[in-house]
Amino acid sequence: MKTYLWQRLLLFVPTLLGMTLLTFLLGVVSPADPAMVVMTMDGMSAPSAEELLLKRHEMGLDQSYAMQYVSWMAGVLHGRWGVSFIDGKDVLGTLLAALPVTLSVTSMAIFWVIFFSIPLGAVMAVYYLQWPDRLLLLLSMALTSVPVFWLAIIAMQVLCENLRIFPTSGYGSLRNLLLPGLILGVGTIGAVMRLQRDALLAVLADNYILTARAKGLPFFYIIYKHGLRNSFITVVTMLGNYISGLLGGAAIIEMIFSLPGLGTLVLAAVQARDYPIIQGYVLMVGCMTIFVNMGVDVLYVLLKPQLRLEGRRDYDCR
Amino acid sequence: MTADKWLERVAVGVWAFFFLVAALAPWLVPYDPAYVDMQHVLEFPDAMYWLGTDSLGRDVLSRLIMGARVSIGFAFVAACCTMTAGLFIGTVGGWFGGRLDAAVQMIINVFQGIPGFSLMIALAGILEPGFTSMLLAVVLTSWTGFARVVRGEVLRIRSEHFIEGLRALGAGNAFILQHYVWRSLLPVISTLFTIRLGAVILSVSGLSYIGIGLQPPLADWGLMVNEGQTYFRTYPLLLYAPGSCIFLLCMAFHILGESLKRRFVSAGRVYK
Amino acid sequence: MIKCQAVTKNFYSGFFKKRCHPVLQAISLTIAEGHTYALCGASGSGKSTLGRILLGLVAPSAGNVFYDDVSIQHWMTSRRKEKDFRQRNQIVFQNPQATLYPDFTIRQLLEEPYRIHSYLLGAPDWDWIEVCLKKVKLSLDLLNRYPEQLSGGQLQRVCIARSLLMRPSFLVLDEPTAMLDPTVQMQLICLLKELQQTEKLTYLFISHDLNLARYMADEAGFIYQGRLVEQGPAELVLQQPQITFTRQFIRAFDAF
Repeated sequence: MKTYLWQRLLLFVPTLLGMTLLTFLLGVVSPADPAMVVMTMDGMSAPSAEELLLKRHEMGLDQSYAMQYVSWMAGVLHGRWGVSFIDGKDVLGTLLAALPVTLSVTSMAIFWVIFFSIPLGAVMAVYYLQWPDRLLLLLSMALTSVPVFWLAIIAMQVLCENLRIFPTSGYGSLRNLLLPGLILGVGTIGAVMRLQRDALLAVLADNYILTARAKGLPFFYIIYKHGLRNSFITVVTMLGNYISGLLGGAAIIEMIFSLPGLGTLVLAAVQARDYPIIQGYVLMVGCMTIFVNMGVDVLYVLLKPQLRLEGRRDYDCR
Repeated sequence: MTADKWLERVAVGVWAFFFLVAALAPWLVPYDPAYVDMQHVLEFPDAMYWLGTDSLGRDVLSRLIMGARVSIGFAFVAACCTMTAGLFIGTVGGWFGGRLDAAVQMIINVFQGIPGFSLMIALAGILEPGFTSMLLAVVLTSWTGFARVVRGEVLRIRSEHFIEGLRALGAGNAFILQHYVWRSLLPVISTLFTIRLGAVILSVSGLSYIGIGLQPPLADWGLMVNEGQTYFRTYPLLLYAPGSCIFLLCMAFHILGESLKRRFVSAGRVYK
Repeated sequence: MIKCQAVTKNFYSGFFKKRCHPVLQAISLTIAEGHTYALCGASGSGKSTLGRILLGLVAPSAGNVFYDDVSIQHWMTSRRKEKDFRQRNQIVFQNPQATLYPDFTIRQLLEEPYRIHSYLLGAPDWDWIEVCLKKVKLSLDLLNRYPEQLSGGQLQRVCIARSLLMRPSFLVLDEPTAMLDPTVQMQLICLLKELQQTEKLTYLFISHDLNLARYMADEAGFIYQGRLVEQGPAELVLQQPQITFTRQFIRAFDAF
């Protein structure tokens, strides 16, 4: 099992490398000339062509893209993620300061997703094709098709200003995160509900459930003991995909609820054309997604006992 | 079953309604959607302006109708490009296999390693905002979904016996792909295409809302939500009208996609 | 005359570390014009792979196949040559249900050769298609049906008719009766025997059913774990084998 796990994790290395390459390319296609930006940062100096050329050489911009990628990569590994075009601050530091906010909103969203969709999906599976199933199916589709930014504005108006259930804005306590997390998770709740329903239905159709019922075990005990555990594995494997969706979607939510996270940072950077921040944001979010997927893989192996014995499979390369 | 049929019909109805509105938009709009009329700023609905006017005195109904044209038109173009790219890359990987397939899978993994919406923000931020960069952002972030499914399906079809039968008859790759493989993919592709249409509308409206999607002279629903949010406490229609349009249309696409999927599953297609 | 010279086939598994699984080892055999060569052996012994190699559907790892002293590689150099080759050398598979594309009617399936070989055969020649259907004793009423509406025997006849459309001279029969019940099996074998006379066909008959092989074959060969352990005139190999394995196989089969 250990070698299997290592091999699974090893397969992430090319993905990680490819992701950094993609991020590097984002910098290449950006219309700004970094040398020019650095030289004119004080807002007064207008560098001559020779000065610019010298600076470009000094920054390594006259080298081939391959060489630039290697030195950029080395810098990234040493924590030199570049400096902001606007205020000259270190990109990594700025991003790391905003990271906890995004992580906490995303975690809150995941909490809501699990809180709502696992039981609701189970209800759907139990009442398969009856009215609760149909109603919840419609709800799940509605949840996946509602524009979150629109929902967020309405929810803020109704729940925060009119009913005063949640605080309107601010960041600091858990209470501030409840609503943003919920809104962020809305689409995922709908999707996971359906996933949980289908997974549970598949499990319930299996023979061992039939055996358990034949033994006379109460239905809800079977659902709880056999069904949920097995369908949970399916959900966990897909959760990796959903978390990447949540991390991306967090940008809009953070902006609307004015939370000082990565999303707010990058949207401000987009307005200001601050390319290093945008590039760093993609790199950071990409790394996080890949690490989450690695974690999911580990969890998958731990949850699925058969895999521990099975060892490696020849053709499996994800 | 009747409830499903009923729902399906409503969804088709909604879809057809929006599609017709989008197609006939230039002839349907009562006013020029971009005409700024400072005499009639922020008016409530009346006989003249059925849905009122916005903060610049533009007719909300006209902007909604034009918005349908922009949203649906863009979604179609983007979904078509996405489908073509995904179909091509997925087929190459699944059909030819070996190292080529490994490379295709790796590229797919790389693109899936970055959250789609984040990459969209970055691309829209780095390129000049507008139609083309929007298209590029959407296609680059969503082709992987198509490619993955297509690759899996092609892999499955490739191992079917009738493919070997065709080869024995003398058919080449191009012939088999064109007449058999893509034909067999049609149900899967059409399902994904429908769902993708809804997803594109949703993500583009999100990007337009935060101001890096389609740009102001265009009447996009996401932009309308953005412009309406300042005044919506007194003029709620400015927010509710475009938002519910996005919602309804996406919902219709979703329901259609799900029912297509169910139909093909019950027809015995292996489908994920 | 079809000659197979020291054909070896290895399959590989594994992504980084390749592992070699030998399937066929140095197989040499000759099939005379108008004769039937029966290839017998247990399942998994590599019979079907050899049949596919003979038709160039699978490339051998080593060795070569000659058709009238022309190497098969010559026929595979261009698409045009390959199509030419395919018309004259056809295969009938074990499982007719899976071999026919399920979404096409029998009519469309019979048109397939014309669609593939349009530049040589032109538009579907329905007179010839009807003649071929008569040869395999199928009625024309079936044309508008789908494969799933036909029985296994009928489908196998469709497959044979489809091959005959191209006027082949060599047919590989890859266990053509394995999926059919005994009475239908016998009918099909009789049909094949009859066609061999009228169409002057050469057969490679792959089977694990010795009774059918005895009935069909002029020459026979036994494959065991990828090796051709015994070959010669059919009555000799299938009645009085020299090798212990063959003897055991035949004894087991006859006892069953």
